[in-house]
Amino acid sequence: MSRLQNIVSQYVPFVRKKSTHTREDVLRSKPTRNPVLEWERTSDVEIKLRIPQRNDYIGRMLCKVFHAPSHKEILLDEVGSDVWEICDGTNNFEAIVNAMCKKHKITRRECEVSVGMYLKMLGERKLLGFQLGGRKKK
Amino acid sequence: MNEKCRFSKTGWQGIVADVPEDWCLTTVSGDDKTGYFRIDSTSTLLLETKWSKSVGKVDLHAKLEAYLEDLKKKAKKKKQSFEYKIKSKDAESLNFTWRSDRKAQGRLWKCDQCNRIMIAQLSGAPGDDIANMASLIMPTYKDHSDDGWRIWGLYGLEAEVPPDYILEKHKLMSGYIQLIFRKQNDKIIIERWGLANTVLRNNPLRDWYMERAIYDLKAYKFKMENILFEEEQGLQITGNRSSIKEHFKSLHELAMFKKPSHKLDGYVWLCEETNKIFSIQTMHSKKENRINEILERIVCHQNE
Repeated sequence: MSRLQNIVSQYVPFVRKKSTHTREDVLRSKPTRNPVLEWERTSDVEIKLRIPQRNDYIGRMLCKVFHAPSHKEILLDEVGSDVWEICDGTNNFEAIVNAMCKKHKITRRECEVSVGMYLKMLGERKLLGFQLGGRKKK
Repeated sequence: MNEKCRFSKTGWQGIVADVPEDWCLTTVSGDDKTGYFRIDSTSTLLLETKWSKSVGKVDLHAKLEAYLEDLKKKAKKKKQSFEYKIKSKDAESLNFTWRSDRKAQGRLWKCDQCNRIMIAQLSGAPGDDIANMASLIMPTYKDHSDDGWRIWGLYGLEAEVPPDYILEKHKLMSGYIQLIFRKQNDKIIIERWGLANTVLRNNPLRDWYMERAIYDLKAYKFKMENILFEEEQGLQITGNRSSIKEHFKSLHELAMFKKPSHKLDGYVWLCEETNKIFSIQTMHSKKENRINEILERIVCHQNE
């Protein structure tokens, strides 16, 4: 039943289970860059992401018809680049927030909110994934 | 609690308490007569403050009982137990504790000077050491200052505004704070931007500020001078209402028996210690220039 629900929920939003992650789960989660992406530092402060277009038959055909480039590029600003660089799968959300607080001297709350929103946006665009550690056994 | 923990003034509408530096103001509502604010810690502790204006004699005990009974009713709805105790400190102040799925320690008092009844409570999870933290925070509560100036403390910014200025508008965004106060036609605008190192990387302070302020200051003809604030770069702004349309506005204000606020004064400075840019502007009549007093009372960073 659960497996069926998982499959159906990919296409039918209201069947989707509500997220039950606590604040602690989120703080422990480790954002990890999508390995398909290529990225490079274009200057001291900016990072350029290269996102490949879909490589199946339809994707290749659409690229040919519309003369679309093989990659989409996104330029991250200074703060965004700093966050992107730390998201290597070894640092959890809390560590990222701490690092950004220290570097840019912003309050923890401000940092948590803005870094959280930014990571959520990257996650929605499938540029990042989140490794959730298992809960500790009591 | 870590003994080295640093405290900063945090509060709203002139009601402030010294709380650990990493605690943050998360909810604000109401005005100087009736209102509420909540400060969250990084863990499960939270500090709440509620106030309401009241003239004349008030039965504080009845007021507190009503508040606690209301909490009891809410707990009962959730099928949770609720116990409370009230201790009378003096005629003007009552201490209380309650225990349910969370526990809390608080105080209710009436201030005769600002005529407000205040309830402050620190609550936390059952395992939290509330008593210790409450003993550090509760005595630091201030609901008015001695000279009538109203203290505002949020996200590390501490500012004071002269009496009678009422908060007209505020923006509390990540990396940007704006507080606008008004007294008739006079206006005080306090702003703070974060990430100064990033925003000033390619722009000098003057150009960067002009880009932001050009729209707000378009009614004024002003000059900007570079100055130094304790070896930190800053700007001083002075000006007057410029266009004919604005002079007509002044005439209109005069006709309404209000002093026209045709003068502009301001300071902008970069605080490298906190990596933030601060700005104060006052739009005022000739006699009502309080910019230097406001500047003296603003705290951009705490010295070690």
